[in-house]
Amino acid sequence: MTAVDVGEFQERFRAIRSQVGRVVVGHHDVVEGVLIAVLAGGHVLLEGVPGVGKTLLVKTLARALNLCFSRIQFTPDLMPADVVGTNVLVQDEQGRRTFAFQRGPIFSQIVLADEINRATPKTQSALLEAMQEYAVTVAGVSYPLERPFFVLATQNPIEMEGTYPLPEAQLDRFLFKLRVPYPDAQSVVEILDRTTGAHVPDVEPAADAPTVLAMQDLVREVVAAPHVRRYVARLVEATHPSGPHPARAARRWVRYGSSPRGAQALLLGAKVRALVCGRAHVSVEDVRAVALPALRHRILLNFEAEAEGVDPDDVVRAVLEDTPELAPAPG
Amino acid sequence: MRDAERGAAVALGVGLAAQLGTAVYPYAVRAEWVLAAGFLAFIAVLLASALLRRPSWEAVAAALDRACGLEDRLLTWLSVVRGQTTGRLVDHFLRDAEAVASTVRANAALPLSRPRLRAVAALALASVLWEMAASGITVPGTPAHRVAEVVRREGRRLLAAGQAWEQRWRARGLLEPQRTAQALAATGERLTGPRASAATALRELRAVQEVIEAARRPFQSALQRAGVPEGTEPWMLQPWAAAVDRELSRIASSVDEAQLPPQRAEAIRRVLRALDASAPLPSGAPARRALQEATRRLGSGDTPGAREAARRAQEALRELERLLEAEGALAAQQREAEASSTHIANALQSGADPEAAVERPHTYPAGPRDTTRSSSRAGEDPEAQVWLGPEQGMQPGSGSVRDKLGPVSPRLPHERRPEVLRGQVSEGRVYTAQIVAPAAPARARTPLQRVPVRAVRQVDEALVRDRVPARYRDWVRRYFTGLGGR
Repeated sequence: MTAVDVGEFQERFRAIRSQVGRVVVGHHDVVEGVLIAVLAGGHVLLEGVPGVGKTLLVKTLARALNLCFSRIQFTPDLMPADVVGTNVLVQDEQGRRTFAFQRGPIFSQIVLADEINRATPKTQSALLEAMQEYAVTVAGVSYPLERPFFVLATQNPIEMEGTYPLPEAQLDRFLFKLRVPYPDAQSVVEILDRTTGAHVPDVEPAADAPTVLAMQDLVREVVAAPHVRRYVARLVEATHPSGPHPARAARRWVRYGSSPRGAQALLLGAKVRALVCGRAHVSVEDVRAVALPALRHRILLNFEAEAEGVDPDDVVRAVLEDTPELAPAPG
Repeated sequence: MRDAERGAAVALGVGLAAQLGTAVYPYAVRAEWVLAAGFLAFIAVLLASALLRRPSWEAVAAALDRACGLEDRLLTWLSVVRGQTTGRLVDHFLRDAEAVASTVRANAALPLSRPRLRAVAALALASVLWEMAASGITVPGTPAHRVAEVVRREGRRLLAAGQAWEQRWRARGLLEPQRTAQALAATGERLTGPRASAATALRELRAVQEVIEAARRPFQSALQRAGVPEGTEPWMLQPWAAAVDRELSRIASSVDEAQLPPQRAEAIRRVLRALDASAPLPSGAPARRALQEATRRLGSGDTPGAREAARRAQEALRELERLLEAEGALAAQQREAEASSTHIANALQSGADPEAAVERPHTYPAGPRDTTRSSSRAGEDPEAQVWLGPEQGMQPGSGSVRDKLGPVSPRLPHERRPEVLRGQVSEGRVYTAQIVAPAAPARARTPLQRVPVRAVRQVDEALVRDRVPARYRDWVRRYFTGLGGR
């Protein structure tokens, strides 16, 4: 497939969501968030307690998209070479010895970085180049990764002992941070039906790598009017407590606001959402809809906020409330 | 538009709060005023916004996007036609925008469906409902409640006075005073209602005063035609008219005799001249002309002519008396309505004073102070002292009644004879009563004098202010003016 139009994008999106929904019970917002991030070409950080289906979601998504999938279980003794690969000494038939690059699990299209905060910062940093440059450099040689490439990382928010919280630079690489809540009682019943019976639901591929790439290309074509771009910029600016126009909540509770990557994430996410809604243009409402997952991990709260139990989501909501959709008239 | 709606909502909210405040403080706020204020605020803010603000195209487009649910299509379209946005999907966007625009319903853009206008409508409705269902309700113990008590008290007073007058004038066959007395009683009845407010009461009283004023006008014209000078109060003529009527009856019976002794004729002429001289009417008045003619004819020995002239004078005087009676009745009713208006207005002014609603004697205007009593009030602020009235002090306008009147005048030694009176109240049964009637009239010891109009007016005002019950004021006035006539 070389090109996708708006209607086809919408249909394909629904098909992928439907396939994922055959396995993953509930979590509609999370599934939609992951799909939006994937189609925007970004990486996703999934945060949730163990057992709520984070890993299952990623694996199912890989099957629905018919992409190459690998899983890395992050542990404290995991080394960067375990992730990206390493040069190993090999001997050919003539007895000559040469170094050959042994690819690590990062060489895949959907990489599940499970419990990413359990690895050391050194190992976490091994993902940085891959996530940003879509390439891996080992011993001075750069190896490009196959596109599309997504890192879907998970982390457990309650077990803090023996973990290494992701540094801000690492967090900023994730397009969205999605919170996976506990399923409700009805969903749990359905989970029990699906997982404890004889029948195991199967997932049919609803797309493939070229389709995903074509969909990503279409996302970039979505019309974003100046007022939307300005709104995104003002939202990001409002998260900066020392900026020219900080929101009241940001001034009070935020130490560092969002980076320009936050603005990119907002607009890209909004573009995907517009296509999902069957529109070829972005509206302010699209931006507002993706503001929480795009900004919540990019806002660093100050001590006062931590002491008062303020959540970054509260700050983002307050920023949305304080920021007018249209720029105020000069003067 | 949103600002205008907000302005209207604020104005209506304030108006409604003011309406609710009438349950506590005695002031008038009507639903029409509140609605008018809301409407004016809407127009004013709309005009101010239109004149002072120059909304950008983007602002207009954004407002329309919001109102019609266009999801920013208009704003985006604006950027596309300005060339600010390009790309492969622009054509698709334009087609989509065109398709959506064709399905937009015009009424979706109307502000009627917007919640703020619903708030405006709700406030307006609340204001009207308050006016219809709860206006006039007051919270006990508040100034508004005290004023409402004054209104009800005045209502009861007017109702009683109106009913009494209506009965009286029906018995006397005076239709106009009877009709206005009915109107006065009806007004009083409305004021006694539990939700009559001071503003309503003043409005009703103004209306009934206009009715009475209109009823008075023909009588005043007729009195003017009868030669009664303008500005003359009815009661000023009544004693004289009654005296002349009495005298003329005697004279008419006297001149029936064919031959009058010269002394008798001269005595009658003297009486007629005295009556003519004391008339408070101009010489051209019909009654007075007839009186003068009777005198002249009696002098020339024309007894039948004198009798005829006396009869005409008598008829003119009876007509005058009827007019005066009606005019006096109407004037008294008008004064009652005025007095009620004054009381209510005073209560409104002193609404915050808890004593205002207590029924008590009226205070009197400032006048000469009793210097003899100042020692007993030493230490008090002289300005704050209430002047208690003319019953105190030795100066004119002050002092006790006994001090002012002096020793009691001895009764004239005259025979009093019992009489039987028959009367009928309305259409009811005929009552008879035996009373000791007044003594037979004797010659007046004090010649009849013309009282200055200003003095008469002062007396009248004093009577209005004094604590004489309203329904008896007319009687009191007639009694005293009657004394003067004798």
